[in-house]
Order: sequence, then structure tokens, then C-alpha cells
Amino acid sequence: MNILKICFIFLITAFFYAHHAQAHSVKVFAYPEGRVISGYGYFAGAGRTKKAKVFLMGADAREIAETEVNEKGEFQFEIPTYQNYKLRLDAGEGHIAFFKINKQNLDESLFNVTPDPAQTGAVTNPPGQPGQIAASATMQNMAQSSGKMTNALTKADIDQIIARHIRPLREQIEASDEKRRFNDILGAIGYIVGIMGLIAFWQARRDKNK
Amino acid sequence: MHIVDGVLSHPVLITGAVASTVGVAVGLRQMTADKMPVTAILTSVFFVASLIHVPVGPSSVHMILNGLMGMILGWSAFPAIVIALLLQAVFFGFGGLSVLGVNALNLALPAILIGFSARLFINRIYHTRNGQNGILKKMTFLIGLLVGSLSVGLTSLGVAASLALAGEGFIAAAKLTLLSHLPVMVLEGVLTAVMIGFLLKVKPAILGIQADQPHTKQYHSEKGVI
Repeated sequence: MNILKICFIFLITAFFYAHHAQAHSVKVFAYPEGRVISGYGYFAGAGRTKKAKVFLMGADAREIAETEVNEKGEFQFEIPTYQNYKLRLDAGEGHIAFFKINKQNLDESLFNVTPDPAQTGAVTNPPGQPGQIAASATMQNMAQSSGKMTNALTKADIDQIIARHIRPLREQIEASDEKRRFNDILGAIGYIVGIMGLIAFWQARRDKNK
Repeated sequence: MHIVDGVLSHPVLITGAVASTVGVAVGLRQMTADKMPVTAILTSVFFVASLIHVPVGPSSVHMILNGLMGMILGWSAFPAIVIALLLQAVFFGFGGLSVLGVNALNLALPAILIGFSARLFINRIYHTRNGQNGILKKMTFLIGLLVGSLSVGLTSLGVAASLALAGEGFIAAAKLTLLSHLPVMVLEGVLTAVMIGFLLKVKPAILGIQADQPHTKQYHSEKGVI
């Protein structure tokens, strides 16, 4: 069958591009530094989003602030209170991405506001992003121990230094999560063949019963 | 081209899901055993083609190839597109599961409509006197170009309409999606034209053309009836 040959040639050609191409999905990455959340939006594997709106939402999912990304796809928010935050990046055409920032990653002492127990009780902690769990746990431990031993300024300094140092790691983890793997593509094609096999089996059984 | 989860309203999602379920059911009924290998391969091609993207301005676009699928597969394009979109959502996070129906509808409906019209048109010309060598040869490229680009164009409009129902202004959304998919429309048009031209030469049956049908004028003229 000639159509099969053509399609195979196309598939093989496509594979050569598949390793550096891919991804149409928009992503957003952000990290807190003191009272500022900075981040950037990007198309996975395709560079930064040069035109997008970013919304900052609080724990109650209400929009607190809105901004637009600059030419490098970067944005910044000053955060008002100590709480969980969620970012929504809208690049238009239905390209939307979310990013959660746990309040454990923020420095409570900078806000000088004790969190409302009723509010924190009502809000369930969003699951941490991959790579953040270990980091946030360490930071919390260090924050607690340093809070006991030293003053608030030193604790804030440590937090900022750690945040700055683990930022490339977080970015790397985020990027490797987004990397489309050759195995995934092959696996998916295997699934397609398998599903078609199932349909063939189902049809054969139906015809037999008739 | 893939709308993600959390953008569209519930009525749009439900309508898309119901319509796609009907489409898949019809498609599965029409998928005969001999059509299955072609369907599987075109599903794979569609799956991989969507992974190759080209950055265009502030956005990025990718090949869709739904026109070619509609032309070759007819209604079977529906289950094929649903399977590919499902795997893209699961493996790569393209689109999403709740929005699967709407995305499938936006891609498959234009494919089927345009594919069906083009098949009908090509069949008509093919069975006219000298159709195979004369007019059809000249028109194949144009037909392929139209099939490829119109399918993408209609899909863009479908995406814009879905987004408009979710609150974005239709004209603004349509302008943006159509504009960013203009390069894809051209690229797909040319690719579909080349593919259809080749298929007509080597295996016209795959485009639904039954050579030498007894009721055609050409058959009768060759047999000396007319």
C-alpha cells in the first residue's frame, strides 16, 4: 500500500525533528524573592511567551493583581500578604497555564501579619510542585531553627540566599519535566496500534456474532 | 489549536463531548477492517505532526493534517483524532481530558465536511470523459490546496467560536487564531495537494474513487455502449 509508505516516510522524517521541536503548551514558572514574585511564561520547548497577561490570585482564588509580560516573557508581582498564591498566565487562543506558590516558600516575618487561623483552616494546601517539596521542607526547617537562634533579618537573609541558589535547580527540574521524550512518542504510537487492534478485535467479534 | 482545561464553560464542554461521542460512534461503524491500517497510521501521523511546531510571532503553531485525514478516512477521522488527542493530553499535557470533546469536534468536523465535499467533487470529475487525464490533473493541486488550507481555517474558526463562548470576543479571537495559523494553512495546503496528487496517480481507490464503475459514462464509452 503506497499510502502506508508515504506515511512511514513522513513519520520517520518527523522523528528527526521531534527531539528539538514539540510542545505547544504554554507554561509559567515563578519564584518568590522577599515580597516579590518574579517569573516568566514560555512555550514548552519554544521560547518565551512574548505577549501574555498574568494574573495573581490569592488562596480564595480571587484575582489580586494583573500584569503583562515584557519582551522576555518576564513579569513581577509585589505580594501583599502571607498566604498561598496561584498565578494564571493567559497567552490567548486558549493557551493558559497555572503555577502555585506555597506560603511555606514565603518569609512570614516580612509581612508582619499573623495568618488568620480561620482562613488557613479553610484553605487546603495545594500540592507542591515537583522539586519544591524537598526544598520547601528544608527551608521551613532552617527558618524554624534560625528563628529560634537568630533575629528575623538573618532568617530572611538565609531564606533569600537559599531561594536564589535553588532557583536554577527548580528551573532545571521544571524544564526536564517538560522535555518530550522520544520514548513517549514511540510509546504513544504503540498505544495507537494497540487501540486499533482492540477496535479490530471488537469488530471481528461483532461480525462473528452476526 | 488545542484549547486547555479550565478555559471553556461547562455547556460548551458538554456539547463538545456529546457531539464527539456521536462522531466517534459513527466513525467506528464506518471503519472497516481494510481501512484500519490506514486509520492507525494516519492517527500516528497526526499525533507526531502536532508535536512539530513553528514559533510564529508571540504564539506557536503546529501541523494539523486534518484535511488529509478527512479526505482519506471520512467519518473514521473522528475516532482517529480522538485517540491522538487523548494520547497527547495524557502523555504531553496538550489540551486536556475535559476539553477533549471540543478539541476533537473543532478538528474533525471541518476535516469530514471538507474531505467529503472534495471526494465528491473529485469523483465527479474523474468519471467525466477524459476526466482522469485532463481536468483532474490540472485541478488536483488546487483541490488539495483548498482541502488542506480550508480545514485548518475552519478549525481556527471553530477554536475562535469556542473561545468566544467562553468570554473572549469572537472577532478578536478569530483574527488572532486565523492570523497565527496562516503559515500552517499554506504549508498544509501544499502538503495535502502533493499527497492527493500522488494518491490519485498510484491509488485513487483510497480517495473513494471506484475506477471503471459500470454506471459511468467512461465505462460505457469504452465498452462501446455509448
